[in-house]
Amino acid sequence: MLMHVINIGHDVLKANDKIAEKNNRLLEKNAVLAVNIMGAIGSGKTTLIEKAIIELGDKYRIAVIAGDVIADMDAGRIAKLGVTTIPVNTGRECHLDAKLVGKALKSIDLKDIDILLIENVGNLICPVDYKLGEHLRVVVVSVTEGDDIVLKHPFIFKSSDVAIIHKKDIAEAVFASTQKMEHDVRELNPNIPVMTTSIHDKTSMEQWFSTISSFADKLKQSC
Amino acid sequence: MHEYALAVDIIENVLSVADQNQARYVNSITLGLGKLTHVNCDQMQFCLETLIIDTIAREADLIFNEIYPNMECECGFSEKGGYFCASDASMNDIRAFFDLSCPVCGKVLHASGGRDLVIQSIDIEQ
Repeated sequence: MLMHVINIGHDVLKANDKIAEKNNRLLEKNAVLAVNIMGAIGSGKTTLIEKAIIELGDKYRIAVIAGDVIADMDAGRIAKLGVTTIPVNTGRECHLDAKLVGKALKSIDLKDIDILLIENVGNLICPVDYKLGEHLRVVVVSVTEGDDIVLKHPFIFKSSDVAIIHKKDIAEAVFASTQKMEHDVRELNPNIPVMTTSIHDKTSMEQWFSTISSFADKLKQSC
Repeated sequence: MHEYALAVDIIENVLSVADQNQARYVNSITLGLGKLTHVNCDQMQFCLETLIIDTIAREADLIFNEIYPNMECECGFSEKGGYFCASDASMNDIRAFFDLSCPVCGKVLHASGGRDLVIQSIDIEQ
């Protein structure tokens, strides 16, 4: 009987990062801006995507990867707008990972698109540890989750590039303070833009659209 | 979180390395777990224990080493996160690493690293 220790050193989380880097190279090669839209269940991720497609669809060619645990309702809603939509079912998992996104990328003709919107699974915890190859990480929370939702999930705000506090029009009805939520995000991550939005407030929605378009234009110039 | 999926990755990797080394049994599996991941150690242990049943690793000891982030400051101060934990039990809450002030200049410290989930080694019997 021979016993010995084998050093392995394999990092299962970094393995995902490597696939994410590969996805990112593929996207850059085709000058496609990838936006990872993360957020709580029911925070308005799908609606924000729909509105962005309607507003930006004339100027940019958009495709969507819609992640869901088992259903494809979101993908169905988005596909109605006439853009390429790839539903990705994560099965048991509570987040998209780079491998699933890499597989979905194979079904999209990247040469034909400018912007890829990736709707992550509704969850404020698990997507944090998984890079997908995106250029921009957006976190969406809404007032209906309670105005302490930001402080309860510090990591996602620390690891995002843009934060959206959505459904501000109903804040009063659910006893939430958007000022508090905005302040909490700035405390956690002073470096990122924070948008307080509502689909009924055109100016706030335009901020969302122009964020996507400015990043897409910047990427096109640099590629 | 996603402990089950990560545990599956870990066990697949462990069994594959064990197989390449003609192992009859795996006696222990040593993992490094970053303090800043969202992985829950107890849940990970439960998932691993479930997954090793009926494998050559069924008797394996599961050993977890905590990996602390490095706490760094613009002023040049740098210290392993563990340094701050010796006297403070609340440092088990990962948020605590974001509220630390530099003992030299008082600015907020930046946490670097500590996001690992690494299979460090396995002990096998051939």
